[in-house]
Amino acid sequence: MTARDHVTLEIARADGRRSRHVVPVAGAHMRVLDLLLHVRNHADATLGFRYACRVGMCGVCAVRVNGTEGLACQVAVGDLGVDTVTVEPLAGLPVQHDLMVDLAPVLNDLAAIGAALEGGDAAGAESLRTLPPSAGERPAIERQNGCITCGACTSAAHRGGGAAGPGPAALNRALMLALDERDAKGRKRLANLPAMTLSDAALKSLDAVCPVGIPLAAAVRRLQGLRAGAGG
Amino acid sequence: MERASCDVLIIGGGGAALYAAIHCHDANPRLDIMLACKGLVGKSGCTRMVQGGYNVVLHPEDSFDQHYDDTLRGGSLINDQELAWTLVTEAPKRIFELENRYGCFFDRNADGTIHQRPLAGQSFNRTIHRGDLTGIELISRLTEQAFARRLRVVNDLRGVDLLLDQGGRRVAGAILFDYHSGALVRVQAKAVLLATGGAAPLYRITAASIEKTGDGLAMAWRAGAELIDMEMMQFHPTGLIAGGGAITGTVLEEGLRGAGGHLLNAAGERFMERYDPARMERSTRDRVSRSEFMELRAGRGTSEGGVFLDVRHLGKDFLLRSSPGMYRRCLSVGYDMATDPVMVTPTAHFQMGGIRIDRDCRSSLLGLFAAGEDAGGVHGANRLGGNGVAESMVFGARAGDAIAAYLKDAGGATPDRDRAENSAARFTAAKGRAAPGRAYELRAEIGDLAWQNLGLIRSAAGLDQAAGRLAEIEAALAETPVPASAARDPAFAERLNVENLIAVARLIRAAAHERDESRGSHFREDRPETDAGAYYNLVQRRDPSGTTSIQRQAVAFTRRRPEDLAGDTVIAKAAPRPALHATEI
Ligand SMILES: Cc1cc2nc3c(=O)[nH]c(=O)nc-3n(C[C@H](O)[C@H](O)[C@H](O)COP(=O)(O)OP(=O)(O)OC[C@H]3O[C@@H](n4cnc5c(N)ncnc54)[C@H](O)[C@@H]3O)c2cc1C
Ligand code: FES
Repeated sequence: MTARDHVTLEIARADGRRSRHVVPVAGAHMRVLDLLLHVRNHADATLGFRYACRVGMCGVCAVRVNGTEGLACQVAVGDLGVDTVTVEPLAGLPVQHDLMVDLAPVLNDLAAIGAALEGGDAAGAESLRTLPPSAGERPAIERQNGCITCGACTSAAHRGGGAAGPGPAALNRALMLALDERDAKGRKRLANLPAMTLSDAALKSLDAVCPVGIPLAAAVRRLQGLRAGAGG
Repeated sequence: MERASCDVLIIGGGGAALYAAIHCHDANPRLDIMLACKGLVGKSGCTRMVQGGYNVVLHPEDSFDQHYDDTLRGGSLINDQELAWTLVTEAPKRIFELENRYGCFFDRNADGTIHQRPLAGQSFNRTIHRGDLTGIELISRLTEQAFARRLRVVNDLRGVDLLLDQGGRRVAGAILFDYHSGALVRVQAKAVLLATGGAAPLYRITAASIEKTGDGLAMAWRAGAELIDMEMMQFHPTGLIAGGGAITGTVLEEGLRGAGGHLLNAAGERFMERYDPARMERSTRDRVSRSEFMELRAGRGTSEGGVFLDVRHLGKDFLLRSSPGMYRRCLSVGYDMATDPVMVTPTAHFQMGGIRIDRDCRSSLLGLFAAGEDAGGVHGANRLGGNGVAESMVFGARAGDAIAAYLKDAGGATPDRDRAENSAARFTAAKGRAAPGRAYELRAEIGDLAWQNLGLIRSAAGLDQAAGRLAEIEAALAETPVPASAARDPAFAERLNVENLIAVARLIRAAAHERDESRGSHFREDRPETDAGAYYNLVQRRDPSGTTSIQRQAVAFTRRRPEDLAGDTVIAKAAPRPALHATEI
């Protein structure tokens, strides 16, 4: 791969247009976010996109870069290896302004399945339990932890043919809670959980797009297994 | 102007705001609580970015007194002693609640006890964490708890001004601006909490979340609330330099210095020898940052304005084990820490100063509360790593409880119409001679100015010069247009940002001028000594005529006297920490 000093940036805009900009690339490690900032600061002051943390922790900058979901602050231009970089908003979510989407459906999915710990008897305890990191389901919970609710998986699921039921992020959280011995509902949560219908290929694509590397396909499968085991 | 009303209006969407919302609701579920956030609730702000962790006394050999003394020493003894005591003594309660009730989980030792790591300036390893992604754990669980309570959450709705009653001493709500509709919303509320997270991003190079532009501080100032120690701004010594990229300024964790990392100037010298030969790189954040700045100013930095953090001698194994996240981040911008020195710069990190509060987060205006980084006084002249997020949790919870208690007998006030209209006048369409995009340039200009004159090294001359430059920037901003429809107009949003940054920069400037000594994070090269006998806070307030006064108020030594706390603290020597979520024994 040779270092490019310019790329053509194509941005899907709110009015259905695609704006095209030739943007300098200061180095192979420049991010897609840097290109967007360049356009906004020098070419089109109205360009709408989100960013906050700049280090892959907040998840508000998720977009599709050349068709694939990614965090604009993390995807390096040099890694793309192409002269034209297309940036579009996430799929399957209402577009608000250029690259800004409404993440409410992702968050509402979480709220709809009651994705929040319901403390049991120990909720008011004034101490921390002793719990070796290897105990019980802890390693399994930790493996699924760290979702930044960026919407990348929702977008990928949508592209993979759409999905009925709660999105991957919500299912992942449901699994974590079902396994969590602190949760008053625990596995009872599974009974009322609507199923998520996705092909195997689409499921696999979720793992590929999750910017924090959560094994989402495994989560969905484990959840299905638990439900089958629980007889519902 | 659109209208709305609620009992409690919480402005902000980070840890302090969410914690307050949850506690306020649980104290009285009938209260109508509205959470208005400039970005997305739970996804903007710095709580999410917390890496190091949360300081809390849990170990039987540790004590509140030790944590307290560390906090006061760190703050060069001008902390509000009651606020600091509250921080220390309530930090454990919040951790129990976060883990047992809200569903967070913090890293354990192999035997199942809580893991506590060392951070700078602490006499005991008391920082709990979840890997190096503690903030994500905290904010994700708080956000889902808030959603579970079905609170009214509105995103992309920013606080613009507070509404006051006719007497001007009581807050009656706020004017908010809706990014999507471009409309102003006048929200009448019985109590308002400001939790917008301070103004570290005033500076050209910052580690903080970029949308934080001192809005809460500027709102409080315009309304006439007291602000305290606005000159106190913390810089972190190891902000990454990544070409001209936006990732520049983000923090490489302190543990790398604790573990024995070296700082080198462009000539390869370990320059800390010049500034703090005893402690070298393990000296305090403020001293190391300042030393770097001095090297840069003396022309001993790189052409990109940096120095080098050299951790090669620690070895790849150690680096991968102890700082996997940092290793990856550096690699992603082209430095392999095991083979390359990493270019770093000081970076604006945290604002200690802010709205003056009491233990119940009450400001000097009735009905106005503040918590988290918007509030001042807890940390004095410098904050210890791990005390910031503890502050947001502890005082967020207290604000929620205190507001619910306040509303047991307080009714609402009627907003003064004139004042509301005055504030709305700023949004009246106006042609400008400058292009809308000029606001972005002015943001960069004020960032440069703050960096040069209001940052790590200050002087009376530099501060005087800043006053003139701020007036110029203000005049230039007035030339940018106010669009007839401000809907989805990021350039206009930036204009509002710069307006508030100017207000905050002026408060910082005036306080830095008044404090004619050096203390903690505040360094005056024309007054490099600490005034040994004088412990005071600087309180600023704008009176109705528009003049801002500044007063020295002696620190109340209610729990410790300076002679109780002789000595200084250094960064702890770090042992390699266990692998993330280690499952091995
Ligand atoms: C990189 C980094 C690492 C850190 N690591 C640590 C650590 O390890 N330990 C520690 O103790 N502290 C750490 N801190 C400090 C810590 O993050 C802060 O002390 C704490 O998060 C502040 O919480 P807050 O709720 O006051 O503000 P924030 O979490 O910053 O939230 C501010 C909120 O206000 C919103 N807002 C801003 N303006 C407006 C407006 N006009 N209207 C409405 N909403 C508005 C923002 O969008 C955001 O949601 C770190 C800080 C940074 C930058
Ligand atoms: S800006 Fe936060 S993840 Fe990209």
